[in-house]
Amino acid sequence: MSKANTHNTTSATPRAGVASPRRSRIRALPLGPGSWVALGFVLLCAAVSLLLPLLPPTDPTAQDTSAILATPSAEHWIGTDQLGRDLFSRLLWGLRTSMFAAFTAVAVATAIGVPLGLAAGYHRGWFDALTARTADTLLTVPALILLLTVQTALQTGIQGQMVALGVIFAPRIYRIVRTETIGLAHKPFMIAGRMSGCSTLRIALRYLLPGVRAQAVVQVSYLLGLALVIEAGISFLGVGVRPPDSSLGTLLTDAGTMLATAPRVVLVPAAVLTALILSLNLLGDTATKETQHA
Amino acid sequence: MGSAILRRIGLRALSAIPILLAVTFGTYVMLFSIGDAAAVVAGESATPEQVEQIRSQLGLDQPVLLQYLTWLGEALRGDLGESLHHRGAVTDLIAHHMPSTLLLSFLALLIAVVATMAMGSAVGLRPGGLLDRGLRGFSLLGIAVPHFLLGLLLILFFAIWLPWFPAGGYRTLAEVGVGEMLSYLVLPAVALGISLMCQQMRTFRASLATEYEADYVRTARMKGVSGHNIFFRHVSRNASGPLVTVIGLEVGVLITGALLVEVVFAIPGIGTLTLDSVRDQDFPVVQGLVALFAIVVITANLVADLVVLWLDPAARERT
Repeated sequence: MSKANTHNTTSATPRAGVASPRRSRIRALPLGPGSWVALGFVLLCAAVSLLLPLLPPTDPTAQDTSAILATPSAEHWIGTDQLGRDLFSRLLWGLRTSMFAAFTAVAVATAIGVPLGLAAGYHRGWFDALTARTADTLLTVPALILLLTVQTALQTGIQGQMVALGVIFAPRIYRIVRTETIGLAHKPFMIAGRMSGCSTLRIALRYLLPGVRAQAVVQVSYLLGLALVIEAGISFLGVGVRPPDSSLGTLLTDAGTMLATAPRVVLVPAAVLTALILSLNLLGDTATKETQHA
Repeated sequence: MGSAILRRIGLRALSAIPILLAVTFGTYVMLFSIGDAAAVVAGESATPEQVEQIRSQLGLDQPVLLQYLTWLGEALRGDLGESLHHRGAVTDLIAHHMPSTLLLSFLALLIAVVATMAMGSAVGLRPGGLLDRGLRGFSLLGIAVPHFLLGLLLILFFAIWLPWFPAGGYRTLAEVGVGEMLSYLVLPAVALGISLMCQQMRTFRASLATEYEADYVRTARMKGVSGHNIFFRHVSRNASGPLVTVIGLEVGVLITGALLVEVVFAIPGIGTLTLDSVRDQDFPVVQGLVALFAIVVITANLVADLVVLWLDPAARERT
């Protein structure tokens, strides 16, 4: 409740840059070195996740019983785990699962949040009131708790959970888009568009969407990071990705038992997960600054 | 002025009621209408007839709105129903798991607030200095590391490599002394506290930077007030408003974080209860817990707003 209020009042102030966002500002982005590294790392992870099936075959479940908990070598770049499985390939396949999971959640959230936010902010009225209250309600309970509630009732696999997480995340995108849209709805170019007889759909796609895009992208960047945290969390808790499948979360599940004997088994996936979340947050921060300065 | 504040508090509290109803109703529909509690109670080997029999026994064949209103009526009288798996009332289960979680959350918040204030005062002496930049990097990193990972790292460093603290478990005050009980909570509270601190640090630093540019700080400097006094007597009071708001909003993070950290450190608290109930599909317990979390979050935000009013006389005048 108060969350919604404080947020709306801070971000409802009209932003100067919103009026002329027609051309993508990507080329002009004066990224600092940190942001370039972050962007590079995220893209690398995405590329590896996408292309993994095409890369030299590494079976993440193949057991090499002669090399249990082996230390790093030419054959096993970062060693093997307690079942003799190659950690490097488990890491890559786990990364792929986690990235796909996070992407699913954020894609669902965007698909729900953007249209609803545009409609609510443009038309206002009862639809706005209804969706805004629903969003407030969903935002009251922490995302992980909501997800666990859905999991209690449905007992689905990771795909279902990530779709559910997308629904849970949708209010966050919805609210940003709605606030931006309210600010845009009475701009002169909007009135001109309406007077020249544009259809509502055309107004939404050509007039509103470019204006809300920058803010939505910022939110998407943060949400990807949050989705990664939540996927890792539920997998770590044993209700997300189940063995023998691996994700960055399940790689950490065995941590409790492996910490004392071979901390490497835990530290490497932990470092990758943290670096990925850090990069996404950094990009989000950079994008926030850009939209504020523009 | 006093009555205006009271009216404001009253209005805020009232506006929380529809949200609470919506949260509990939504959860109820999710669990008892979309989920199938009767099938869970009956077990996998039950015949459809047995499931139906249990369904009518539990009253789950009634319209969902009626079921919810019955639940709500009993909840308002302090009865959240019976657990499906454990013999006993949901309220008893929650009360039994509550103390360790409350203590853990309190310690974590304490660590976070004290650390934020201490760091804030140090940074305030030399904004843009090495410490300032270092802390900004640290808080970025601290926000990125998931709570449970931080817990695991702390176990590795301070329970395995340096065996200073137990790696997990919990003893109540009745079983052991205060010192030993706290030793079980140090690492989990630090794990949770660091994450909270990093978030608070970001907000606090931003509002500190604004305050330090204000005229009254320059006046105080000219009067020869020491750096520490400028911070503690002037700036910290004015910069605390956003910090308090953030702490209020952090309660959601605290609930989520406590859940994961409790599991990492095997502390029998609310988080462990939540996870067990989710695994066992213990619908009434989950329903009760979500209601509890919603009340906690809403109350925390309300209290935070009140504290901001108390800290800032100008905001009080505006109401």
